[in-house]
Amino acid sequence: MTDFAAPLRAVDLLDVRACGDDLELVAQITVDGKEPNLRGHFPGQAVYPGIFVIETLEQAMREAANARLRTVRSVRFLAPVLDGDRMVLTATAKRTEEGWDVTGKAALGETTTAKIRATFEEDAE
Amino acid sequence: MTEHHDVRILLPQRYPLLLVDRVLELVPGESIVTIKAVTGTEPCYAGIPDGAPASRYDYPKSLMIESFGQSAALLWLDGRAPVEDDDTTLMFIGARDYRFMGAARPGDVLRHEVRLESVLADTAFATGRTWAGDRLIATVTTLTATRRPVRPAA
Repeated sequence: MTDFAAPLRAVDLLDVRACGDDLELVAQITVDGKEPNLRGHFPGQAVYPGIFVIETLEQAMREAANARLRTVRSVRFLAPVLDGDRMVLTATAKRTEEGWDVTGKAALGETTTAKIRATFEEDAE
Repeated sequence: MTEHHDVRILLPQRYPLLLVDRVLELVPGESIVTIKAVTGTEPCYAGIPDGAPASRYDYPKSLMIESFGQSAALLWLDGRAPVEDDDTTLMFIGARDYRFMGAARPGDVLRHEVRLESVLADTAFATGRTWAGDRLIATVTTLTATRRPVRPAA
């Protein structure tokens, strides 16, 4: 459970490093086929939905910089992530006037499963 | 008008990740309008503590994209239920320029307007927008889906 609206906890380990004004993030999640969302996606065959890769990035940026997703400039899903897989999302966030430009790559070991470019804004909460 | 019991026949997703309630309009091969009601009983709101600021209730953008994607899938399927021995399903494989300019909160009804731009072989390209009442809250230039086996080749 998260204390903000989210379909699931999409990050179980997060490493954030500052490089000058930029941030280097490594977010990890192990896919649990027994998690309610995964039971519905799909019955009998758990596949970590593409949208949850975006959720993983959003939760990592929320924790690292209290930032919120504004635009997904591009996202490509190249290979499925299945029950028991440990997905590692590596991202670089560069400071902009509005917030952050983020470039990320999700992988299972050596296999790239997704690529994403997105912009984030500071939360005004 | 396609009601929820028919949506369930057409899409493979199930609770809590089946995110289209009803199809309002369908022009085969061209466009679709769907709705998904957001309520305080969504699982995503279960862990929010009392007294949390209003923005904590912003409906997750990931689920908004999924709901739009399922609407695009319904447009592409055009009322054709999946074939029994077909092990492929429509997979969301990419998007370009998906912008969020607003949020939905409990009580809002998401309305997705999706247009099919082109279909090349087994890959479809859709474009569209999402409204919450009269507020435009998201636009997407291109959303791409394709037919793929659910189980990857060993």
